[in-house]
Amino acid sequence: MVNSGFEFLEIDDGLVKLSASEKDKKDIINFLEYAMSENIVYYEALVSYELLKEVVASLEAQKIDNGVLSLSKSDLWSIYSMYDMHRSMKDEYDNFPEGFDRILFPLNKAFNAAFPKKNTADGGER
Amino acid sequence: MPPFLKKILPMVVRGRDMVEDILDNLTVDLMIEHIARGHAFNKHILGEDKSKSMNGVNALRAKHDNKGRSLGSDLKINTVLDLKHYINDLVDKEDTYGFVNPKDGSITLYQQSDNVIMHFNQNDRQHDYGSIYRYYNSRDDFYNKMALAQVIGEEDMRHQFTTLNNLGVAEEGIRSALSDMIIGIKDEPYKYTAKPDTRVVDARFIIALENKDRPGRKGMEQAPNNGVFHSGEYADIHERNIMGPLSINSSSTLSLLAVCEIKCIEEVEYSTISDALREGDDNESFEYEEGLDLF
Repeated sequence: MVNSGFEFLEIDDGLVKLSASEKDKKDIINFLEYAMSENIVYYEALVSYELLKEVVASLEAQKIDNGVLSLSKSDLWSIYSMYDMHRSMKDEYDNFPEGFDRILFPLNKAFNAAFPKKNTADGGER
Repeated sequence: MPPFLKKILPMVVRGRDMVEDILDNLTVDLMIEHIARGHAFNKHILGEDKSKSMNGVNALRAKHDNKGRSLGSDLKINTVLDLKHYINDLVDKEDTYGFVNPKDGSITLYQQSDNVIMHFNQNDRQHDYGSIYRYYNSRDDFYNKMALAQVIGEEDMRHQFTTLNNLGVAEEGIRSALSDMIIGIKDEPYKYTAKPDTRVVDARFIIALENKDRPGRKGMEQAPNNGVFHSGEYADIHERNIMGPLSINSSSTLSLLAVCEIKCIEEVEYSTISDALREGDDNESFEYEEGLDLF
């Protein structure tokens, strides 16, 4: 497959597939590491530092196979959550990693496909 | 066992016991005091936030950020004690809402009138049980976080997604949910760790030792920021458990312990020290010696 930019492709056998280059993957890793090191927002309300380190390690270990990046739903959730939480912060820091929006929008598409919205009634009320 | 581990093991074992004591005594009020004395005070009250719009701003006093966007009313919070009292009020207010994070049972709250967000979390990186802050978009931030938490996959869920409020009876309110969370941390700690296979005891140990500003340490009889003493309840527990069992008289030594533990994780096989932790309680050969040269 020829990579035509970072895009959501499909969900196959529980894995979320995105067309991606090594640079796309590197941009994701750079952003996660930057956000974790700068502690820009209190992301640990949703995803822990410890878990994110594992997600980064998993990304680093994965070779882009035929232009496709494969993410488990769990890893996609963690990565997208970080991007979503930092949407409004990218203009707040001079050295914010590049490529944020380029990655965010395809991730958003993948996230919506992998995690369809639930009704509030699905959760308990306390 | 590597000599390095043999040297620090007695302190690690005692440290583990110390942390167990701290958690045995944990209450909602004490957790609130941790947060009020934690990173959030410096970042959001003293204005150490690095973001352009909030740098130099007391987020809970300023009505606008550096870009002129509305934050909310002046909450008149200058000191750690102010913050602790405010958090206690926030938890009980009628227009405070929240949710339980299905991943780790942590609790996120939004105080609508004041536009303030709070987190209660056992295992955060700052090791101070959570945070409190206010940005111009706190409301959106809260609801975005809640939407994300709501769709967490079943494979990652260890708790039910639950919304919280104070509109019903007290037994079903937010303070009660926080109490339940603390009971859960004590009874089923693995459900409240950062990830399911975290070694609970070891994680707790690191949490306690890494938090250099935690009240109760020697040299911290006065709060660093406002000179107000710790609450008696808080100081009693932490003074006894931290300074007593370890017989260590300087906070730097405690910091060193944290470094030792981290070094163990990074440079030595983690399983080695973890196994030793489980077996080493009664091992006479690992008795701590005052002034032991660690390196």
